[in-house]
Amino acid sequence: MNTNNSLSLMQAISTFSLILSLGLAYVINPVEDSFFFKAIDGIISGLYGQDVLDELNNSALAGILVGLFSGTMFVFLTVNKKVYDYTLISLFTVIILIFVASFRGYDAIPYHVTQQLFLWLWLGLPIAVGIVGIWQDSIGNLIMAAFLVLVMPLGLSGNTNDEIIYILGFVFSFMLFIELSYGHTRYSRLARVMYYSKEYEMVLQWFLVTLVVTLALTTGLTSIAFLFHDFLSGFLPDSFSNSVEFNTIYGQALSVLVFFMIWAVVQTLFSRGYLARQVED
Amino acid sequence: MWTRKAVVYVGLGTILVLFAPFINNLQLFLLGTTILGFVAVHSLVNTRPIDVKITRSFDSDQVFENSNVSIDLIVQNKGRSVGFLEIYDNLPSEIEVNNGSNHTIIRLHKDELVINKYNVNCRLRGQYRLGNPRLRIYNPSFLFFYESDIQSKSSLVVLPQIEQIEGVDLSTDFPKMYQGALPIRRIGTSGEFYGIREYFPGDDFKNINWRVFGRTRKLMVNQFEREDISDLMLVLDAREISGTGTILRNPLNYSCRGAAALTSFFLRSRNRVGLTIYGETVNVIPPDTGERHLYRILTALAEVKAAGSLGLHTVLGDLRNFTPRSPVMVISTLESDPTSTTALREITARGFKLTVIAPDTLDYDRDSRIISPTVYFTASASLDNKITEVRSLGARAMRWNPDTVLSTSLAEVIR
Repeated sequence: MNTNNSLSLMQAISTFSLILSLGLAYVINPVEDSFFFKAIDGIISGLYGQDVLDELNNSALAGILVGLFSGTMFVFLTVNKKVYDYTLISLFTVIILIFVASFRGYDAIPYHVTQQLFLWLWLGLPIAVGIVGIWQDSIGNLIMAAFLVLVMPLGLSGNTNDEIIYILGFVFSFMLFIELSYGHTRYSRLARVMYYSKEYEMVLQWFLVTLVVTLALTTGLTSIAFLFHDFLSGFLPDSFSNSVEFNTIYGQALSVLVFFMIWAVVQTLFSRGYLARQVED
Repeated sequence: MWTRKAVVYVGLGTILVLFAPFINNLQLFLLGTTILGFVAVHSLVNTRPIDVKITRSFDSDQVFENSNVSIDLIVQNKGRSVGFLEIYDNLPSEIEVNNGSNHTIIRLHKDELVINKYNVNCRLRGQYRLGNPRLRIYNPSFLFFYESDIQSKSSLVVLPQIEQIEGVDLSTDFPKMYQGALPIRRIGTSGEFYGIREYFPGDDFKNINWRVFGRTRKLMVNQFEREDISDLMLVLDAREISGTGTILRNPLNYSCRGAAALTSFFLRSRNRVGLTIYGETVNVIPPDTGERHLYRILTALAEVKAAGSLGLHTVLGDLRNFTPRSPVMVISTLESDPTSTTALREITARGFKLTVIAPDTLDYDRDSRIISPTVYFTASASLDNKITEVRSLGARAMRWNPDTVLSTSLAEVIR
């Protein structure tokens, strides 16, 4: 496989992971409950005196599709600086005209259509920003996209254990997005500096394989740590395992902490043995 | 060592693990746990010590300027398998990589041997020491790294470029006849063939080339080289001021090239050539002949660095031991040397046949805006004055624009 193919594959998987992570984030936290959505709804209600957002379609899927479209369009537009500038100016002019038309009571442009588009664009903003970050190797965009994916769907109602599969799916895809996009930025920069060689391609393949294996291992470890809570409750006295504190997220956090402490002890023992071997050498 | 990314991951993971319970958010809590777990797992991947041996080999460790050298960087893994090994071969800035790369990333299996080939262009004379190759091991997600230098230094000598001088009679009027005759390329009576010319009455019959006569029906006579020997002393200015200009284009570099060309020319003619370099100290290579002597002088020229401010008068003591009336060639701009006038006068007074070659990089310096037009004008006028002054002593002097061939410039003053 050519180095460019491997790097493109990384970008493609990263994009897919980003979409998946945002989708799963909205599955775990419904759009209506999200803090950001509520905040915007509050602002717009205050501005117009009516529940505008409630009348619109707040489908996360539509938002993801609009985000995908706008992000891709942006990437293509930046290929040509002139086209990019003209498009941006045109877009800005249209937005201004819509607002001016709205304030002057001129209803030639259907206002609810643009509102709907803006809502979907808002929902898909992490995708739009992330795609630009992935395909243009912009670390700033990647950080922003990761932040938005985490924060935008965030609700105040919290999660339950029933959503554990979706949560683990989200964690895996989110980590895959971050690792592949960052890895692509680093490796493509090195590929530009480096004289192309078969050895470099082998390094890339090693990275991809190790990433998938370690990520699967880590997610598996997290799942085990999560299940360790139930396992631990079997060992603990009833007064402890049936307590309110133990059965909340704090109890789960405590179980996870105990699991990783045991794991750390095991790793330290392993490392000590390894160090001893080094001394003997 | 930890990278910035690892620190950010641990910070973010800790914040999520601590913050998520407050908003009862299992998603963020497990994400934080996974991030911390990911860092912990990666601390075990490709972070153990390695045992790699690196050696460097050249196709030639002594080359001329502007030559290409092929370098093989042999990387031998004697320890565990390494997933990501970044190797950077430290090269001096004067050496330019023109094919391949001195910076590579490889994956090394256990006991594997990898050869990284690349070519360098040696643009500037000098004795270079290629430093230790630098190794960097990253774990796959750039969370941890380890750097080290591998002991593998090598030397590369870049000799000054030799320009072929032809068609210029630079030999002495006072050949030495009694120190073991060696043929020089002038017409004489030795057995070495020089050329043929038309027969003139009075020529010895035994020199007639009868084969040519048979072919052309014209009487032609053979000519032979004259056997004699001359001593020549080159005086090179290596003062700090001679290094003014760019790294590649400065009077000192051109002086070295000129000295190399003249040395080669005179040694080819079986003369004896000596070299005196003055700058920080005075370094004298006594006159000698032969291929080995040529390389001795070229190596000395390769090592010359612009330093010090000793004047031309400091070489007078060494010239006293030099054969009287022999040619002395001073390669210098004579710039900022208050002793030069007296010294040159003394050299000519002692009967040495003096030639001054002043490498002139002023045009280039002005065009490259290293010096202002005013400085150019002043420096150029000063150099012209010096040349006129030298000529007034009965010596030969020339401004040598290094963009022109040395022999062409020499031919203009040696008529």
